[in-house]
Amino acid sequence: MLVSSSRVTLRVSKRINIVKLGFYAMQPQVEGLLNEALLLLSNLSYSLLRQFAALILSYLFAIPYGIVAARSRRAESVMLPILDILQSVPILGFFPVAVLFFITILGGSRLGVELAAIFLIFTSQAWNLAFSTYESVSAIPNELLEASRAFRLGRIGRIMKLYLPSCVPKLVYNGMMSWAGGWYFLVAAEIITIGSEEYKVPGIGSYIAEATYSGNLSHALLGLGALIFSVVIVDLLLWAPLRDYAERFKYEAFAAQEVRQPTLYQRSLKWLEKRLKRPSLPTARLRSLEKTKEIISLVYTPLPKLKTYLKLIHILCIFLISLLAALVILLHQYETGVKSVSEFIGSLKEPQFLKELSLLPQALLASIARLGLAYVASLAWTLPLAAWLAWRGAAVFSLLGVLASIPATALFPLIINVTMHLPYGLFLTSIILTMTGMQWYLLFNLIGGFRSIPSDIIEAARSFGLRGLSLWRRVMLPGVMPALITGSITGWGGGWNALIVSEYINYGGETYTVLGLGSMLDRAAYELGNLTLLLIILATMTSTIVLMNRVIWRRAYHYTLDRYRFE
Amino acid sequence: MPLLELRNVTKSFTSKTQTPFVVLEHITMAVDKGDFVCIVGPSGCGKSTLLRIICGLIPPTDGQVLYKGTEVKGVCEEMAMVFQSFALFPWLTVLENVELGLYSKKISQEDKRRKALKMIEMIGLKGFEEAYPRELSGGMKQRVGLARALVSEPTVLLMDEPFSSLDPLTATHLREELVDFWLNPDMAPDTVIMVTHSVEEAVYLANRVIVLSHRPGTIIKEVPVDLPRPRDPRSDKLYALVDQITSLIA
Repeated sequence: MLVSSSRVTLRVSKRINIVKLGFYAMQPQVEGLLNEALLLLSNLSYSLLRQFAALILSYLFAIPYGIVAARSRRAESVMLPILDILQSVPILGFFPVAVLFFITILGGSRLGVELAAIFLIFTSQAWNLAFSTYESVSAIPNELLEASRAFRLGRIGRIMKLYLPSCVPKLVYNGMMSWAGGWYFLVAAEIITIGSEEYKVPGIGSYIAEATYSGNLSHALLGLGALIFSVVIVDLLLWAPLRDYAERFKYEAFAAQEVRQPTLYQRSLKWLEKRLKRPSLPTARLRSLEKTKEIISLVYTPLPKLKTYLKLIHILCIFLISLLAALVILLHQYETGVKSVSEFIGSLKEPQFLKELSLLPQALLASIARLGLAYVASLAWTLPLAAWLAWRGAAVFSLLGVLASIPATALFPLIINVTMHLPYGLFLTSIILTMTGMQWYLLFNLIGGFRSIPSDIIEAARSFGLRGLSLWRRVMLPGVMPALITGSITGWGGGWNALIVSEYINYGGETYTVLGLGSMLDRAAYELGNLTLLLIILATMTSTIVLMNRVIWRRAYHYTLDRYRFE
Repeated sequence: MPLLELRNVTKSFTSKTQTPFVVLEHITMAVDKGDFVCIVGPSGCGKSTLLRIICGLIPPTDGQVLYKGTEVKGVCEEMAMVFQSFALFPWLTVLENVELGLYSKKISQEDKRRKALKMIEMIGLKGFEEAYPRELSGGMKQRVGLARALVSEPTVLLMDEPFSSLDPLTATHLREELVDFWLNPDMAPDTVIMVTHSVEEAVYLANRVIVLSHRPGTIIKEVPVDLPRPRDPRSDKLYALVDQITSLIA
């Protein structure tokens, strides 16, 4: 008895020892895991904090700006053109300028990069939110304004009881979109800074990128999972309740529309469509074609209608912005040791600077060609898919929703990891990365476009024997045309942004570049540190975008709307 | 001295492209305490503009509005307005909307609440204090609009086609209640100025009907309505007046 029991004890204790041994052997791994989890969490919190700081700053800027612009005609004539210009600047193009600016001011501390990152997200949100406020306050029904005066609400009363409440629905909706867009730019910013040791900031983007570049794929996927998790959680805890809250602030016409769309699926679709529109473009808020027309005419057409003095104001704005830029340059040159004007002019004659400058026309053409290729490639897969998806069920949409809610920039390291090994790897990679900035806008606009084709028109066409290619040529393509144009406008806007991260690729400790404005911008910022060059490239890019919007897209838009709209 | 007096009021709007066009021309009229005046006229004759000038929401281009002998500049504190589309704030509850009528009054928040609750009860909306406008029917919404205007106990109630967006049955009920309020000496309002495009409504309600001409609006005629109250909306005498006024407009 005694012997056997002691044997049992022995065996048990042996087993315990083995477990213990195993545990001790595991401990470094557990510790490593814990450390990794902590690192991941702290990185995620850094990114989240930046996001929240930027969103709050954006609201603080946008609400007063929008209200003043909407309530004073004189202010409006100055403030709207400024917004128009500001939102034509590619957001990621701001980033190097912002980094150099804040570092110059704050003397190279991490705080500078930190502020630059927050500023970057701010620029992706503030203009759009200011437009939302402006539109909301402008759209207040006249009788409500009269009532607020008849009952003598006064200035404060009008702001508290009328202007602010009327902005709530659009500010929540666009805030939500801006939040999603903010992720894209934040992650991009964090990845960009990885290239140079001194500008590096901790964050979920840099975590994923570093894990991928050091070959630790499981960590990269973990980081991606954490990011998606936080996207979903913030939506559930912050935006979903806010969406419900905002319902109350809609006018009744809007409320009736909501009632007509009863299913959760339709609402989530609408919500999805919304959040995928690029926040910095005015077209972001489209709900229907009518609305699109309104907004486009609001944002893109004021110039030709403006009186000459308004044009002068427009020019004055550009002048002031250039002046500011010049000031920044001088400040920067001063900091870096160039003290006199002649020395500054001398710096313009440096061979490096001149060499880069001579590349500019080629780079511009190369970038446009790259965007064109990415556009065609995006269209090639989104057009058929959108037509197929347009009348499909909710399950596909929720899957698409999850896919689209991942900021594309977070996938960059993983994509690069695969595509760089393919033949023509660098060329392919840059095209694919550019596509990530374009394709979702196209896909979701196209789905909306196909769904807006009245089903009786399709049925009528079928009854006349139209099918296959002729059905496409005569009904489907014309029907989807306005949506295709708005998708293209937003898509190209997103594409210009993507260039800045797709032409300048960090991979395996090496930097690969292809010729283009994006890579020139990055080189000017991170290799040469030449702010003058940076601003010249940025100005080239911005004016190209403005020109393309005004010459190509706006015309195409009005043309298609006149011809292809369903009455 | 009349309570309210309009002297030679003219209103013209200037648009960028066209020459200024005149909406109202040489409007001279007086309203006494206790009057119930209805303004009728063809659509686009500027009757709503006239009401807004009286209220002080829009300044006249020329001429004067006098209240108790002094010129009205800005929104007059003794008047309250009821709007055609109700103009309720969709994000405020019934109670909060009614309290808005007391916003500029220098009384405590408790007093405002007490007065608003009492008004809501009198207008027949007890139990709906916490409802939002979208949850109410059209008739109930206009009751809120009326309560919001009456809660400050104005001397003059201005009404801009208050019943034209309601269904006929609801409108009939509300008309009768309005007359009851007006006849009740303990309750505001003493004086009502209402704009309407329905001649029947004007004759049924008013002491005096002011008929405006087509644009530019001028006063064609003032028609006194001496029918005894309560009035029968289908009586021959009433219809004779309706025909007389309608022939003036058409």
